[in-house]
Amino acid sequence: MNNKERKIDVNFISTLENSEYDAVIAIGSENFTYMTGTVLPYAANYPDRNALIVRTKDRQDCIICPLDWEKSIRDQNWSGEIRTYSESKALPPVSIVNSLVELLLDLNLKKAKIGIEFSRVSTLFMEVLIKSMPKAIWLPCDKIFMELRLIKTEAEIKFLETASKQSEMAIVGALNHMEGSMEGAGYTLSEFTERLRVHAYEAGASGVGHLVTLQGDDSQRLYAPQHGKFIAGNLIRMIITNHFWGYWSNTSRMAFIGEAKDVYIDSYQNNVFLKSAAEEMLKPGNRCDEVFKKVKNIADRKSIEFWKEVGIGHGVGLDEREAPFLNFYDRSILQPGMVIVLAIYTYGPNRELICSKDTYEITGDGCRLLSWYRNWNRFYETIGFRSAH
Amino acid sequence: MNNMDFGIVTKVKSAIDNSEYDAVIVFGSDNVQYLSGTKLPCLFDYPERFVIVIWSKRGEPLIICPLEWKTTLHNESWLRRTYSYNELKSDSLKAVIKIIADLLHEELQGKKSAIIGVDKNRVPYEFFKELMNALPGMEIVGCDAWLNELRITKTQEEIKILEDVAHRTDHGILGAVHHVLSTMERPEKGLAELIRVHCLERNLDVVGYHSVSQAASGEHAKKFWPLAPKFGVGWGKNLSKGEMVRVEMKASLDGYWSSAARVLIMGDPSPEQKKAYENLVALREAAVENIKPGTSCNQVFKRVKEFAKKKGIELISDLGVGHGIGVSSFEPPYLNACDDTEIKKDMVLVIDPVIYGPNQEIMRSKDTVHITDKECEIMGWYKDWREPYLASKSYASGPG
Repeated sequence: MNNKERKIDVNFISTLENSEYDAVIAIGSENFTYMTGTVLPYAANYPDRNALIVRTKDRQDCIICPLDWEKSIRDQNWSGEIRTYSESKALPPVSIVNSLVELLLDLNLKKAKIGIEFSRVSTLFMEVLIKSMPKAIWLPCDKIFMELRLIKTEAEIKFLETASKQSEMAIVGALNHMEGSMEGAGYTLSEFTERLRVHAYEAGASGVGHLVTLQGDDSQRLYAPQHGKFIAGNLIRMIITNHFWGYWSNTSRMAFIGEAKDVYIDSYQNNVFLKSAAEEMLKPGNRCDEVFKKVKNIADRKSIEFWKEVGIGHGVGLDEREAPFLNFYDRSILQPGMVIVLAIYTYGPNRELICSKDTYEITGDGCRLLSWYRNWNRFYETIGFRSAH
Repeated sequence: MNNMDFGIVTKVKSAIDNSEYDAVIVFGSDNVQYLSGTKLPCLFDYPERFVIVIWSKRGEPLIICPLEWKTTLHNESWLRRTYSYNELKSDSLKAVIKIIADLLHEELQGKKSAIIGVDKNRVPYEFFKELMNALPGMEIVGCDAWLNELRITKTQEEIKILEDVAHRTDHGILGAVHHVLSTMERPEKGLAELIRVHCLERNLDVVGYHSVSQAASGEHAKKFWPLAPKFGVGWGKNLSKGEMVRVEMKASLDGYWSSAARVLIMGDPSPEQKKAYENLVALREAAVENIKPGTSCNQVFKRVKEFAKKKGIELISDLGVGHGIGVSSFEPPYLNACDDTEIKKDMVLVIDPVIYGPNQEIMRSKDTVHITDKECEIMGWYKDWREPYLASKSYASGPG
């Protein structure tokens, strides 16, 4: 993948040319991917290791990264300049800051106006940087990224569709293997979850993120460490996020171990009902808060309880969860090219959190479902016995 | 607070009592996990969803998190005071800052001036600026060194779990490579999956985005992160007879990490492979010999580097020769040229000299060590790694 395929550059160049910045620096790993088209190896999990990219108004690019990340960036079709910094020269973040200062001076930006993501860069990093380049003017540039990333290009939407389909295939594939849990020794939750991961990779995912399976009382919580085996009569919630070249899915699905009683089926149907109501509102011109309020009104009318405080959905892209947010407060207007995850939490008979997330592209006149591999108007019931697998 | 806190609570309480800080406010996911015991695997990957610990001299420590995570963190953490903010309301940054300011006011019992420690190497610049405005009269200073000092020396409970996780991971890798025959076609992907599954079977928590396995052979072994962006999974290349394979795994147990890498040779090693592995072992031994209380990290690095030079071993020195391990898989102190941290009893380090193999493969065999009174001891070996693992021709001929 490169920026030409994603058609990011055109938007970015024009935004940068019309901005006050002489250069911008992306240091957050998702904005790094946005600017470079390359994914870093689990960068967020290594807070003492950073990579960044500098782009100037006159279109010069340079990446600075640790030595062992360089080749992986090149392998992802990055043809621009890369400078590596030695982690052995100074403690974090001084070593990378020293390399950055050297680069900025090489680019004649000593007294320039430089945008950097204030919401990502650490305070210590900035303090060292400001001290090293006191004449430069440092400005926040987070808004540029947020606004550009809100509307996806066609290629980005394709990536997001691919990622969400991979999650779907992971869940359905793993569930298919689980048949027999009723009568056999049964699966442990961690074995099942591992199968989610394996199936996501088999479907072509580039990486898997959050991953958990919850059953019974644990599913009353958003997350709990998984343990034990599946037990007949339990509602289960499966959560997986995976990415395709840095573009994320954010998926949660529901299943039932055995044949579900009506009380479970009905509670799931409440969730489906609210999601359908939300789906009808996913149209260009509608405001996010209006979508939320409409769903809330319908839920109130029908006496369907849902977890209002967390909203009913959000954007997805280079982050698993990003703007806009479908909640009481976000007045963003839905526009073609946005990609939205509907994530409505309703309750099961034992206060289990029920959530069946779906991903939609906002089109010219409505929305397009990107995520189904099976019909999720009914949850998956694992019944019967299967001797294979 | 429950008794599953690995001795951290008592340690931190005492450290804060003896510090200059009236309170510390901690933002980094690793620091938050250390102080609170939360193990939410996605914590690192949601930089805009602030989870914060406030620990003051006077009151009970507390955790602040998004409303959506409140129940989860309350149940996961050993801290009993959990506060949440509604991140969907207008500006979550301002909402969090207000909560911090209010709670701090309460904690400091209205004191108008105080010294507040903040982990400046983690807190976003935007957040810090707002925090300064919200806490007039307070002296806000960095507490990164204080936190590092706390984290790098482990409690006995921490040492025990780090040994356990290192051992299970080593066992997991061994379990997986036992399935490899030099005569059998097995793809790298298959071996990588086997490693994960064997770690799961040993009850490791294979959670967290970077809890990945790798099996890199041939051309792939020449890179740290082959076939990006898959980084360690999804390769169809079969392992071939005579190749040197780098197998890696990162796993955790109750929030404490292992970082493992070993060498598998597909059959009998060539003289060059044998020599390269001996070099790796020699560097390990040089490191072990030099890691002892009283010396410094950069001295260890220097001595290992000098040893490599003397022996004609090409060491990739920009990466250092090791690092700390604990609630994150890569943390201070760093065994490199610039870290002058004094090595002390009860530190746990990963020794990781990286060299090239005969075909320019990147070779590493990581060992977790515990610093004792006078020396350091390797912990967690399931196999004697003075020799590489040799894949046999058949299962009947026994593992190498």
